[in-house]
This record gives sequence, structure tokens and C-alpha cells, in this order.
Amino acid sequence: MKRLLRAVKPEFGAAFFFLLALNAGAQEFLPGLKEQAVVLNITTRVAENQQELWNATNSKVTLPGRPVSVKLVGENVVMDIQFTPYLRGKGPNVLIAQGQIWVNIPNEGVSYKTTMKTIPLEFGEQIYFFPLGSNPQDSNPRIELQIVLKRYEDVIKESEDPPPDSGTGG
Amino acid sequence: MCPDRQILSVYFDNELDSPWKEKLAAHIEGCPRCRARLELYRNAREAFDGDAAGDAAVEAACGRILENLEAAGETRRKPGVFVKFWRGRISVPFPAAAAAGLVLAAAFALLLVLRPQDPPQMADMGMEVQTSPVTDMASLLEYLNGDNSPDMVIIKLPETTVFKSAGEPRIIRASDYSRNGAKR
Repeated sequence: MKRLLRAVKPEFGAAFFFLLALNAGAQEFLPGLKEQAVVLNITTRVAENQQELWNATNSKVTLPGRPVSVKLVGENVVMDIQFTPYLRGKGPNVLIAQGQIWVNIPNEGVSYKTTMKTIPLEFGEQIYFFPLGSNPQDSNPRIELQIVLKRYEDVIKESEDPPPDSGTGG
Repeated sequence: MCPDRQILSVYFDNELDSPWKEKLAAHIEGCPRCRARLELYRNAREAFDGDAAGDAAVEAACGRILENLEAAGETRRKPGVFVKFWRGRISVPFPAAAAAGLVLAAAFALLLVLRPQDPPQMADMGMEVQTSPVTDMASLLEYLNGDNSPDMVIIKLPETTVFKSAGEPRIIRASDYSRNGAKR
């Protein structure tokens, strides 16, 4: 078994687990809704002084109109953000980002914010969400969430036929 | 002292009551100015009365002119040609009518196609999907209500990093984003 695992390239292993996770999510759907399912690829990054310090990538299968909740928990922040994709027959799709953001600032206390943002987007288009704002002059660590909306069926096809040199960088 | 013009006019119309009427009459007897003014009023009244007679004469003249015109028209006009347009029938060739109808239909279709679409923010974004009959509503409710929903992602940020708010939350497209955080 170990030999088998060693033989499998890490890239293919990651792709396999990614596909497995997506399928596990899709199992929850009622028959007929899989065709409508979409995938939200969410890459969370922490950057400071133009340097990326950390990142994490997640993919969630959901239905149009059904939110994907992202809870970000840090040393002094807690964020509860919901991304809800809506598909439109005519015109661009729409992504709604709703969030509650708690930031504990030393010697100042806890600040609490709510937000509700709407943005039109196409399948495969990259959208960036900055829950703590995005002041370029600010040298403090910044959190950004990169969101890409894809059709579930397209993601499955891509995963089944990976290009020869494809990988899952993170 | 001569009375006001309005009082004099009232007196002329025989609407002034006693004893002012008698007093004013005595004054007018000895005042050529007031007599002259009363004479003006009298002339004006006669002129108006004369207009009433003139109106009758004008109406009579108009009647005669119209009769003459109608008599002349009867001799000149050909029957059925000089007809008031709202009473007449306008015949339009069938191809022209069909073409006009087509043009109207095309214009209406064009208006429908070119009608500005609602912006996404204001649009109705509902969607309906026909699915197979649901046999297990309990599992559907479990899926929708479960705390361990597959739609939940919990991300642990690096513990050593302390964050501060840098402004209001923002959402932007990739085209408006550059890596150093500057936005267009």
C-alpha cells in the first residue's frame, strides 16, 4: 500500500482527493440538481508589505442561491463570511458576499463590522474580497480571499482529464 | 363739488336711492360739467343699443353669403369628390398596408430586444429547476439545516499574525486588482 502511495505523484494525489471531496459534496444534492451545481474555489491569502505570507485553498460545491460559509479564525480576528452565487439566464452571474467581522485590537477593544457586497461575475473570473479593507499604504498584514466560480460539471471534467504538466500549487 | 364718476354712473342707471338722487339731480341742473358727462353716458348707451341692431344685420348678411356660397358650390362641385376628409373613405392598397404592418411589428420587436436590461444588483435572480420527485424530505431538511453543512469552511489563519482593520470591506474584480494592493 505504501509503495502504491509513493508511486502516485503528489499532483495526481491532490487532484484525486480534490475530486473525491467534490464528489462527496455533490452526493448531498438531490437528483437533477447536480447539473445546476457550481463550485466556489476560495483561496485565502495573508500578505504583508507586498509579500505573501500564507495561503490556503478550499473548494466547495453548492447550488445557486445557497451560501458557502467561510469562517476565518485568527489570533485576534474572527470572520464569518457567506458567499452566495446566483446564476442569471441573461447577463452575468452575481456573487453576494455577506460578512460579520470581529477584530480584537490590543488596548482598544473589539471592533465589529458587517458587510454586504454584490458583484457581477462570469464563470472562471477571479474576484477578490478584502474583509479588513485594502489600503495600499497600510503596511499591516492584509487578508484577501480570491473567489472563482465554476460549473460543477466543468470542474469534474477538468479533474478527470488533467493536462500532463498540471499541478495544484498552493 | 361734483360727485364721483361712479356715483354719476349709478345715478344715470337710476340706481341711486333717495335722498341722494334728488340732491344729485339738483346739482346736475346747475353743473354743466356733470351734464356733459351724463351726455357722454347717454351717447355710449345709444351706441351699444345700436350695436345690437348691427349684430342682427351682420348675422343676416352672413346668412345671405353662406346661401350664395352653397348655391355656387352646388353648381361647381362634382358629387363625391369634395367630401370632408373625416367622413370620406381612404383606400390604401393592400401591399402598402401589409408593409406598414410589417414595419410596425419589426419596430416593436426591436424595442423588445433593445430594451435595457436590469442591472444585476436590481435584477430578479431567482432560478427554478425541475427535479425528480423528492422521496426523502428528512434528508433534505438534514442537508439544509445541519450544523455540519458541507458548505461550511473553517480556516485557521496564522496564529502569529495580528491583524488590523485597514478600512471598509471591499469586493473587486481581478481587473481592478494589482498584487501590491493598489486598486485602479
